[in-house]
Amino acid sequence: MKPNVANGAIAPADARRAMAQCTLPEVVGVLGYAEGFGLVCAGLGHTSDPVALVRRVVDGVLVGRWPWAPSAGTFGEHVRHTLRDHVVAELERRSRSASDGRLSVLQLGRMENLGPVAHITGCVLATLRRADGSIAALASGVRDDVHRVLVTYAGDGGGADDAAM
Amino acid sequence: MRRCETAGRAAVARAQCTPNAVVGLLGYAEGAALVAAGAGAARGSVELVRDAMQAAAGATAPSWCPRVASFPAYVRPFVRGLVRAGLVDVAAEVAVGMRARSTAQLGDLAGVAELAHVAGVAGAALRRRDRAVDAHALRLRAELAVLLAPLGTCGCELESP
Repeated sequence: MKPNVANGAIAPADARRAMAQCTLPEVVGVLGYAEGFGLVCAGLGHTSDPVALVRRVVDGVLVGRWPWAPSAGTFGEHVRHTLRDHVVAELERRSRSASDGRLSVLQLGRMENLGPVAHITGCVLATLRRADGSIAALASGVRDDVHRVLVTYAGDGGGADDAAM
Repeated sequence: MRRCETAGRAAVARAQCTPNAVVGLLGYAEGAALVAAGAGAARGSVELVRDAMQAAAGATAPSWCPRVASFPAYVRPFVRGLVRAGLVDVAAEVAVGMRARSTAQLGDLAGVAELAHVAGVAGAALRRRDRAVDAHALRLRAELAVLLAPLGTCGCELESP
């Protein structure tokens, strides 16, 4: 089934750009970021599977819930920013509804300072995972899945011939 | 070789454990503890700092010498060691099937241990401006007399006369 571009889904040309940018190192970086960010969140009692989280964000970007503007950064950067905004908003919402503002007994201070901590750990683990190779096989599968979905948005032009940035 | 013989190390260490220094240690422990807990090695940050101070005050070689580093700076690697030990225990249990690996962890544990340290450094910097941690620091500082009691006279060896 063809995606409905008129409803805000990613445009075919942008889908082709995204395909060109979704290289294995880029996907390892995105998953590593999600893992690092997610470990801090899991410590706060908000555990999620990083792969499922990345897939959910990618799906949201493709259908236009969190539209990607290629001029503002790469597809991977946009996925990371969206993931961060989405999870931090959820943690802050939970924090506001907690009686003392704390999500876990491990949390000592204000929630708003933990978003930057999670972001820094995400950035560092993205680099570490590119170097240690321990999630390369997993990332390869995720990249193939993302490419398969992007092809459906890329239209008949397919490929990435006109995707050079 | 001469001995250092700096006396009254406990008093020096207590003076160095200012509210800001203890908040920094707690922030470090909190950041590291959150990552470790995400990987399955949950341990409270106040407890981590307390245990690290006890271990640091009772350490034999190399024991803390006030001429070399401040006591809070000397304690931080002990916190890091405790967090790493917790992660190693989890890895051992996962290896023999006693528990499943955390859903949040995708790659090798060595990366997670490094990450805990990074989160700790970030936590220390960010919590220094967070007054919400002051109450925890205050309570921990009230325990310093007991925690630091084992520190007597320094016995480290001096290099030159």
